Amino acid sequence: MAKCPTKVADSFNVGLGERKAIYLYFDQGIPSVMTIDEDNCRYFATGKCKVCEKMCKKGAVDFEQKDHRVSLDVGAIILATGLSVMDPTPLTQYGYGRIPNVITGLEYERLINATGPTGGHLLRPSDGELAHRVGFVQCAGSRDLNHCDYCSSVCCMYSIKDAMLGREHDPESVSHIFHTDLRNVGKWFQRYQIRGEEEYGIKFVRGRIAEIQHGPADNPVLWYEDTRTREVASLEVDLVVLATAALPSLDAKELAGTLGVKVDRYGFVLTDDATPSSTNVKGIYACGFCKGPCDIPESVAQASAAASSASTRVLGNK
Amino acid sequence: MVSRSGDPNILALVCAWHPLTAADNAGEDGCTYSAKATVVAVECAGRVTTAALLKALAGRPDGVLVAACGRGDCHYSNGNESCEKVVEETREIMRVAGIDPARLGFDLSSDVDGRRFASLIDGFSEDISKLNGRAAGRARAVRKPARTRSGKRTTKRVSPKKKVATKRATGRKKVTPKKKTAAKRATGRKKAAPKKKTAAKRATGRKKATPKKTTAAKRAPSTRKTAKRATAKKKSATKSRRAKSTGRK
Amino acid sequence: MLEETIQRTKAYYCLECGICTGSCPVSRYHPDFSPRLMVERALLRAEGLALEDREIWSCLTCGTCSARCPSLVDYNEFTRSTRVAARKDGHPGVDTHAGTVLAFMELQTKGAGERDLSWIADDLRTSRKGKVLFFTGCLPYFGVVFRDYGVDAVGMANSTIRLMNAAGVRPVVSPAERCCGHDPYWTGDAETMKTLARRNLRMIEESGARKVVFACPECYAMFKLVYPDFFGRLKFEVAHVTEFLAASVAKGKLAFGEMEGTVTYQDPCRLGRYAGVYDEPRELLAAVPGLELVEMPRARAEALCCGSSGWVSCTRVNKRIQLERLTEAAGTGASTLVTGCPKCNIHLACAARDGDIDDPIEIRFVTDLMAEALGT
Repeated sequence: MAKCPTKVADSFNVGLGERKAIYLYFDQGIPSVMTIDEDNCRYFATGKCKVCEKMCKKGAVDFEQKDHRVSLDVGAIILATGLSVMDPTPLTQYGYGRIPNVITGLEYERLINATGPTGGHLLRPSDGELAHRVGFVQCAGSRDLNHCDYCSSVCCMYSIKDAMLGREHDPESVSHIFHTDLRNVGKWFQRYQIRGEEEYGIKFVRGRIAEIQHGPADNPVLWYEDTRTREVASLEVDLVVLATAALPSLDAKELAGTLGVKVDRYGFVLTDDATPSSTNVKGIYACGFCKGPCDIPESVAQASAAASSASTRVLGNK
Repeated sequence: MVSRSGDPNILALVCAWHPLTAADNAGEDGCTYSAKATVVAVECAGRVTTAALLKALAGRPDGVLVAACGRGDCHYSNGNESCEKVVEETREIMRVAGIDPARLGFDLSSDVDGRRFASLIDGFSEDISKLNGRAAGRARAVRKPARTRSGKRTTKRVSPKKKVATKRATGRKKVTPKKKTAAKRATGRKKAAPKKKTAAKRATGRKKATPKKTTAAKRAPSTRKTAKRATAKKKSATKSRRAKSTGRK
Repeated sequence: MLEETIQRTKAYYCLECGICTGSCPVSRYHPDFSPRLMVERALLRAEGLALEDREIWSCLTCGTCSARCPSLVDYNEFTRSTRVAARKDGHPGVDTHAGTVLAFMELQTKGAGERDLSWIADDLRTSRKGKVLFFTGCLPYFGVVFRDYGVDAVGMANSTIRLMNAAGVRPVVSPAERCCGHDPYWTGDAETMKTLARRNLRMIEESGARKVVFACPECYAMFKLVYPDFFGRLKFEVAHVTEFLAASVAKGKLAFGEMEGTVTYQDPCRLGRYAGVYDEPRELLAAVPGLELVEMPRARAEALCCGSSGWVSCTRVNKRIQLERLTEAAGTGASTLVTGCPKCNIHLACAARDGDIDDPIEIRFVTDLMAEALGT
């Protein structure tokens, strides 16, 4: 991998870093198997290279391997296709893609992650400088009748977590979280928020961000009304994080069509309230975000439910 | 001039200084002029805005005449000249809107001779009559200012805006000197005062007056004596105004 | 009255998130003005408070808040219908330009005769009947009122006709035309608008026009978005001059000569946020070889308002908005700010003349620039 001459934008790091044409999907990925990216590999493009083959002392690299389709006869299917996030470019007032240093929550997650492209340092995209002042923009596209009219349910918590991580990595870090109202619905979630405020110095501002402008030194400037003081104000920060709306995964509708599973107008799998794991198709179950916004504990609980429903069917109702 | 039913409806906006004195004198001197002319006093010709003239025109009089003090004689230094510009602008807008600019008359004069005032009104009235004749002859289809509109309508439109006393002709203005009515008239004038800044200031120099609508019939012509008294009052008003006012300019 | 406004504008959807007030160009300079609080007050059913509030006349109806509102509260309509109620209740706005503009609009409902057309340049071709009509709007009037502001509104109308001629069209220009009623409508006087609209619709029917072209986006937006609400579907097509000309360019009927320079473009609220026309003016500018368009940071749906509308509000606040926009335009490095609306042109030109900024950017109406690119 180290000798591979081809560099490709790393999709796992949402394009923030680079990987080689022979790569591991991500560090903790299971199964932990190296893959050759056929579209970008020099050998597949020009017929020459095979550097990786030469370097591998175990002879594990095999250029002759072909993709093959596997047909499985199964007793039950569990849909857990998860989510994708909204591209915030249509939210033109936030200038994503136009104003440097406006990033999404997912991008922040990678930047702050030790295995991420910056080794866990919050280096902002425009100049690679450490970002001390961070503004979190909640409800970027969610709870908005122009875009996604539902609450994505996880953003309030992950933004608090991200802001805490920011302070842990950099004691000078100051985070502002701009929200409509914090939806910390769950056991100890409220306490988590208070801890964020008291121990990590997170500043919570009630007021949705109206507009982001391109300030001096590529600093984004946030414009908002602090609805508690009724004042219109602006805040210059080093980095803005958009808590973009969560959507069903991009191919969820296609998959549902293949399986004959009913989805709602957003593309979330429809389930019955009385049997929340079952879809309209017998033997097909669903859990997690593909059914609708939910956080990790709820997804885990749903997964258990779906698994037990599936096993009941497969093993027979004895 | 003799009263004719075919006389055009004229709205005359008259500056309260020289031209109104001329109008007073017209009364005193027994002059007569068209009964279809509605004389409305304004504090200063400079208070006449393009908007006011356009609104007056929207009331469809046959003609609007603005009488200002002569050049260099404006009590407020240049109200008459700014009025001249306003009239010019209004005429241009009239041209665009398809109203003959000649329907807006403008007179700059400090002559307080009543006969001159009467002939000014009658002359303008005659000009407008000719315009009406031409307009009627040209094409029936062209909408021209309605003659049927009564002066009342016009007066109503203008007065609340201008905040001046309304003096409306209900008949031929005949000059029969009567002191009593002259006094009433003065009262009517003061009705104008409140609400308008300059007028309010001026009013402080005078007696307080209860607002009372005065028609031309009631107020009819005043005596020379009254006119003098009015002038004297004006002077004192001017003094007090000078003392008080940092004013409009 | 208030109840109806709340229902119609869906004000009850308000989340009080503050996006409207945070977005409002007026609120940034004028702390007393807050769209959110006005909606809140209305929701408290405080009728008196809502109607007597002078600030309802400060709204520019630029539509930035409505465009961003996550609850789709129609704040423009909220302002307009509150103004109707306030006017009825005896709390009208304070007219700018000493009321002249609104007065000549009112004059066109009564008193005014056949419009004078002598302003049309001698070398231009127009007609009284035909398929395409050019709705001149207030331009000939503005020509008189705003001459002292260095704005040649009659020139704008002439350059529009010139471009239409160049595209092979001999437009109808009718002396029976009236004001579109935009400004009375947005300042709470729907009756005047209706009277004017009826006359215009009759005028267009009599002209036989199938397509009506507008230089002013406000007239355009009225015809496109408001008239149908009152008078049903229009029997003719409407197009802003930039749409019309961009289509002519695309069909190969119109071409421009070389013109050096860098320009930036001011999206008018009526053309952009209201009518959704963003691309055509840009296509048109791109059709001039050598002309480069650079965008301001806030462009298209995010464009900052020209600072005044409806002739009811022109204060220090409005001037500061205009200066902010002029500074932003100059910051692009462009030598000329092209406006898609004669009123944007008037307002920005006025601010540029005040001398608060050194060497202000040149401001031109789109058809003036394009007609120059035609050559002779």
